[in-house]
Amino acid sequence: MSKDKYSLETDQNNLIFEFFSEGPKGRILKIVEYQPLGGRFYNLAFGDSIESTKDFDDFVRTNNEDTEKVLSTVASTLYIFFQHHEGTIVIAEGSTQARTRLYRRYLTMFLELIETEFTLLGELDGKTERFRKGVDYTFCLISKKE
Amino acid sequence: MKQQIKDSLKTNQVKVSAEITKKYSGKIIFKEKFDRVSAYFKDRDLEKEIEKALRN
Repeated sequence: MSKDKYSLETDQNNLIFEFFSEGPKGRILKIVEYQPLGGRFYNLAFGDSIESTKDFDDFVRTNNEDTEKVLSTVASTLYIFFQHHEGTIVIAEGSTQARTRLYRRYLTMFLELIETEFTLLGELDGKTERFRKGVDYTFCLISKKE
Repeated sequence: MKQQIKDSLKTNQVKVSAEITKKYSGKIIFKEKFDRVSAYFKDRDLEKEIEKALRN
């Protein structure tokens, strides 16, 4: 887990964040989006802006040799999001199995750092429980402790 | 080191951008993902599930 992260820009509602990944593949625009699902639930989505098509892709694997810095930057948006959206719950899922495992590894590290401030739950096969390390959850649910 | 990382995550600088506000106003960017996750949790009472999970 890296303490390096990229600078962020956001919209006035603090729901969409942009930053640039910088590495061997060049400068790539990354987007983090908190999608309102209804009630106090928001889905965390992130991915790349595809310049050639002016579209967005949350499946793309950029391989810009800065994965930890990118994930630390995404994690840092959580703090900003919760500052502006108190009492909400963020749902995080990987787009691919590989990315889910990557998330989980990172979340496990992240959890150790933030467990005093956040409540983390895991969702698997329709069942929600307190997050346990090593379990292959489909989703993670994150909320800020009061 | 852990504390340094934690402090770093908590203190990222963010700039509010009028351009980003305008560009994405009223838009769901990752629409496919939104639809998939919405469908997955449709008809679920997540509040109750969370309450139950936190009791255990």
